Amino acid sequence: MHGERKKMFRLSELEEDALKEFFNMGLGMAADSLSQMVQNEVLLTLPKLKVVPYEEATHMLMESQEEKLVAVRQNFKGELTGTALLIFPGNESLELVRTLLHEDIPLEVLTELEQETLLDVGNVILNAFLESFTQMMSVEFEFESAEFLKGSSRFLLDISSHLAAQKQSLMEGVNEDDERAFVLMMDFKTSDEEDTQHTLSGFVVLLFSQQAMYILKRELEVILSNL
Amino acid sequence: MADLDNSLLANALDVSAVGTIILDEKHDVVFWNKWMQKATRLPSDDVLGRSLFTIFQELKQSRIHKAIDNALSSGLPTTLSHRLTPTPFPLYTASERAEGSPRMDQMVQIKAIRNDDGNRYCCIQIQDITVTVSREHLLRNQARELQAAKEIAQNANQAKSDFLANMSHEIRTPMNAIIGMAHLALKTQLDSRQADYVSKIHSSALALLGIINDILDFSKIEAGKLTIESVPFHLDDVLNDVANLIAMKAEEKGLEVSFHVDTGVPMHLVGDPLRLGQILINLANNAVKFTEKGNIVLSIHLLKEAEYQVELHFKVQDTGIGLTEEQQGRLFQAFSQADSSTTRKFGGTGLGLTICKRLVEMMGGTIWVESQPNQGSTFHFTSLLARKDTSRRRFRLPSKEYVGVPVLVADDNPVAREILQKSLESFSFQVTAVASGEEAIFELERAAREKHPFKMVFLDWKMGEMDGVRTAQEINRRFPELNLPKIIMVTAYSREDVALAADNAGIDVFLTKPVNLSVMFESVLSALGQNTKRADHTLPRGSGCDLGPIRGANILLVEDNEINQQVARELLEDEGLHVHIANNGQEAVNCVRAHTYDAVLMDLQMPVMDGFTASRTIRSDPQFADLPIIAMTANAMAGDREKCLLVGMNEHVSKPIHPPTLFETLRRFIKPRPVGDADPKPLRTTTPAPNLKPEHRDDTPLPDQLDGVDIQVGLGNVNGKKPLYYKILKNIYSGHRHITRSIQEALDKGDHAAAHRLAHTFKGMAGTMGAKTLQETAQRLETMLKSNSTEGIAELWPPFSQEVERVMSGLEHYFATVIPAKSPPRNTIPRNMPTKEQLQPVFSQLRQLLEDGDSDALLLVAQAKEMLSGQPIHADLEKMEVQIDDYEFETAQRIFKEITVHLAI
Repeated sequence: MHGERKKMFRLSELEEDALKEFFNMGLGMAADSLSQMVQNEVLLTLPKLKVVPYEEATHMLMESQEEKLVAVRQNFKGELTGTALLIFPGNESLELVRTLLHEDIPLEVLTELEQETLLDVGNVILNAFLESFTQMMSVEFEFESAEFLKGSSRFLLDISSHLAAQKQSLMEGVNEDDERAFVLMMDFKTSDEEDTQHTLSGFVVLLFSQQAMYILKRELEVILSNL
Repeated sequence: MADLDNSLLANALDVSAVGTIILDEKHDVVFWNKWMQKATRLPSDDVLGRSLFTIFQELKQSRIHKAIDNALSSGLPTTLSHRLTPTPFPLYTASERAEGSPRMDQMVQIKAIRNDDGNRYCCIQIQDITVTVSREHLLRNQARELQAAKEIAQNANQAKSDFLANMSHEIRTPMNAIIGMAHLALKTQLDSRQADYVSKIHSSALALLGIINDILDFSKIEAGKLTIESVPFHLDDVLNDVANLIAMKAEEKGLEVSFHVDTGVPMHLVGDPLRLGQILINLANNAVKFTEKGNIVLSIHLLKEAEYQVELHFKVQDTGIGLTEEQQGRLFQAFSQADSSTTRKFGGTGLGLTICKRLVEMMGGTIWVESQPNQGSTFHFTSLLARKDTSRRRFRLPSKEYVGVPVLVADDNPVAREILQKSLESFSFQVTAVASGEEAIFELERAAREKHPFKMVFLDWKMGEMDGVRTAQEINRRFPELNLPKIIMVTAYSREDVALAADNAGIDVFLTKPVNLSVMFESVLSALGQNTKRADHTLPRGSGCDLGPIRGANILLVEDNEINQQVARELLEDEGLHVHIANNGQEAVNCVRAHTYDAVLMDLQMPVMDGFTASRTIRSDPQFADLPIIAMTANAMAGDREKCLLVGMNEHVSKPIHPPTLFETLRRFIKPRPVGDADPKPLRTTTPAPNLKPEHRDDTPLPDQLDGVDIQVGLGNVNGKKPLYYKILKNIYSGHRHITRSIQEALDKGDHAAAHRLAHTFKGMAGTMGAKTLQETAQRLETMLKSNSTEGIAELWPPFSQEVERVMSGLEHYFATVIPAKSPPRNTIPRNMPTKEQLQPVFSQLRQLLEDGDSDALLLVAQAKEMLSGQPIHADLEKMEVQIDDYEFETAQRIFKEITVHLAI
């Protein structure tokens, strides 16, 4: 086990493709529900998927966004423990909510109800990812409710805040260095009455412990061998 | 945990502030807390054990239903927001709602939970967010209202800008007519009262235009549309404009205006000369306005100097009423004036300084004021300007022998004296300055004794006991011709006043205050006998631009307004340009295709086709790629110039037309044609019979001097146009040589009205030609005749007739000697009746001129009179002459007809 852990964790190309496929299926469903909810066509696509150490994920996010970000977080526990984060750039999230709700009044801040709406939307999207896991794997999950977060990218990715939420379920002796993250870039497209497309980008970050990553890899291998 | 029994936990859930429902896998309610009982008004007993969807049928297939299924099947939690949940739980809120509906706004969380056996249950939690929703509803309404109000305000502002642009156009069009017509009227022969009225109309119209421009500038500043140009200019030209504009007002109030430019200040700069001038004129005008007596000093110092850039410090200092600190604080604010009471003494829009402040800031400087009540004010501003070249020395004496030449300055005003001294020292002269005429004489005699005589003396005209004129006379009396210094009279008063007073005082050169350095330098050189083009500067500014090289050019004037057509056409034709008119853009395009023009002057707003479209159309044809198109528009709003350039026009001049600017622009864009280059497609020109006009050439030989006439003043009256002046002299000589006799005859006949009219006309002409004394004597005569009496004629007559004699003999000498070739060949005129063939050309020209109402007809009448002298018809010619003189062209034409019938021509 110790020796194995020294090796860089990698998913094979095939495994990565399979994962992406699962996620995309989930996203398609999420887009359907969102479209129904807002009575407007919403498209969700996943142009990029990367498996990187936690530090790198932080850098990626910090590079792209300096300002305040908002995020929806959902923790999951069980055999596969981790945190799913949907991160919106601050202003774009505002725009997303307002396009979805056909609001035309520019306010500088997200109102309480808008935060609630964003939480709802984020929840639908994250559920799509998490559902992909539950459907492909034989492992059992427990999910916590979605939460709304606001802050700098460093604050949002602060591992200890996620760890605190998961403390009980985390294995003893796991170093922070061992945390792995999927960073998923995703685009939201919504179109309004005039058929103008609004494209917004967000990040989905899935944080897993090293151990969880191995379970995930194992599960993927099983699935691929069954094909 | 172990201590907590089920009832305790159930009680805790009962008192919690969220609604809690627990469903089993079959959607049956297993728990319903107190909060739910209140909100649904359904007791637990009614719901326990029943399916949620039989209790609330409307929830079937709703988002809530799907979320419950999701939780039960895969354990995924869902948060359902108020906005995205069209079918929520049918709950009642505790507080009455404005809309009357008692429905509760809610946020629902649906999660999976498990019991000890691992069976999945669904936990539903509901939060009452009714208050939040109402609050945000209110907030949104307010935001919407604010948004609407903002849009209204923005629209209003846009409407205001559009209104200003339109009004600017609407106001400028008639302003152009008023200013242009007054300008043209002033060039005709008016009697002094008419001239006074018209020149007042002219100056008032210009003043009104100034106010309109201020308002426009201010609105441009507000809209952030004011731009600063960057063109090469000469600082002295800017100062010259300032001097021209304020000198008269200062003179009226008896204020002394001085300019002082430090030696190190470079003259060739790059920046916005018009805006710089605007600031200086504004500050100087204020200084004049608020100063009752004393000095106004405009000075320029060098603050910083780099290779390509300088920072200049401008100062306008007055000795006026000054400002309190409180007034200074409000000074640069829009619409604010030092004294805003209704009884205020000084008018004005209060925009001037705001505009100055903004302009200064845009030129990279700051503006401030130092002032004390009743002590005067000093306005300072700095400006960053690029340098055109790095040459420092502005005035180079033509030869070393002049360096250190001793010069004497006499002026009783210490400020003016010092500035004069410094200026002359900057030319490398050795300057001695004194405060009175007596001291000047004393210094001159001392220097002569010491064999180090002064070469030049600068005398102020108005000095205490012994004024400049008397001092000059005294110098002339005391010094033998050889040792006589050159005498330069410096005066804040108009030339003609001094020239009159200083008649025969032996003055070499006159300089007007505020003294412009370039002018002074040239005057000094001319006094020292160096050839310079001094006359150009001492003349009042005429067109300000030599159109010589482009004279005869064909201009297409595109303009829909008839009055504006007339103004532009006459201005251009007066300068010897050929004008063709198109009434709109379409006509312009057709004209350009049919004829050859040297330039197009294009109005922008026109019916049929506007100026932009016309310009674009013309430019789309490659053969007109180089045809200069100059926009002429009453829209002086920012962006006009850009729009014009965008459609391919070369430049933009704004209406009302400022003749020097128009001419300068034409000069810049029209390529001078080589001499003799015939126009391939000659135009019908609107100039009537140009070949019949006397030769109009700038080299018209004018007399160097005329007894009793100040030629400079006369030339100034006709805008510096030598041919016109020549014509006037000719007119006076040929038509009024015998004015004394004519008046005498009228008086003898007892026809006072005729005598008065003759005197009146003659007076006007005398004034125009610059014969000041003649004008005055005629004026006195006229006044007397007007009152229909001859009382006092014995006193008035001799000076009048003497002066007529003096001026006419001067003219006779001039016409006899200077231009015998051009005058009619007097000796060959037969004393007997000339033949029809001889008379024909003169009379046909005369007919044409009479039809055109052209007073040049007088020249031809004079010619006809010569030819027919001694003939009975001569009297009729004289009658006609009188009519023409009075601009009674219709009567003149009638007489002409009788004459032609009589002569059978």
